[in-house]
Amino acid sequence: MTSLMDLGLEQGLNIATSAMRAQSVRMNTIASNMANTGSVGSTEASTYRAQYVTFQEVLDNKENLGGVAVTNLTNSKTPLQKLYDPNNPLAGEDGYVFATDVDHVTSMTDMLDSSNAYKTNIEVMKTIKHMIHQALDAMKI
Amino acid sequence: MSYDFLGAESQAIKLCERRALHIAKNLANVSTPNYQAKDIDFHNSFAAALSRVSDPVHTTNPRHIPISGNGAENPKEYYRVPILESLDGNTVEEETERKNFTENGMYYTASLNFAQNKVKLILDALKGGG
Repeated sequence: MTSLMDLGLEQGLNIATSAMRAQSVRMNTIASNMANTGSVGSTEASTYRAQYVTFQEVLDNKENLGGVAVTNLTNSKTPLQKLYDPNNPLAGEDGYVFATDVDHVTSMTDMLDSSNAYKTNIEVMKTIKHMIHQALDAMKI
Repeated sequence: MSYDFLGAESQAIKLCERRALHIAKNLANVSTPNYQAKDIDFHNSFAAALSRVSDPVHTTNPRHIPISGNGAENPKEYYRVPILESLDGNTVEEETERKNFTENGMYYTASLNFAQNKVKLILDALKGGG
């Protein structure tokens, strides 16, 4: 039987770190999405598409430490909107450009959620550190 | 089996450490789709561990099956039932987990203090109260 039970309290620090790492990857893609709001391209293929990360639980066993990991980075697949903008240097012969599908509101809510999760895991880390210190202090008689 | 003078306290400390890891894992997976939050039942596991401390079951024959489960070494895990279902199938509720984590930290401090005081008491007795 494999479980968290063979591991000590310091394992909690690794779990919290894995979550912080995953959230920072997510935050990077959100930053990339936000930076590209309103960008256009001349073809559908060359236009920036919103990126999303997928999280997956890491199961705990003796080899693996458990926590969370980023498993996938996917591009959005929604069809891009065509805009008529003949003055744009990227516009094709017909005067159309493709607008990116980055959604402002989704990016903002994602950012808040990610930053909130990051903060929570910092607090988990602090608490576990505090618990370990308490255990160490209890050995002083 | 030697007499374990820190019986209850050491079981409580072990349980608190396990529970801290479970809740840390739940909080780490707060945005993982389809993640099912897991926890251990502190009160029942502790009661089971206590009954085993006060009345340990011994195996006197190699063919005896040792009792496993429900003690502090092997507490029973259960899935948390969320108050509200979330769209991505994740059952972590941050507020509940935070509350449990704080509560668990308090139990841990208390158990450590009890253990420490017990050791002090025994040391005092050994020194003849001086």
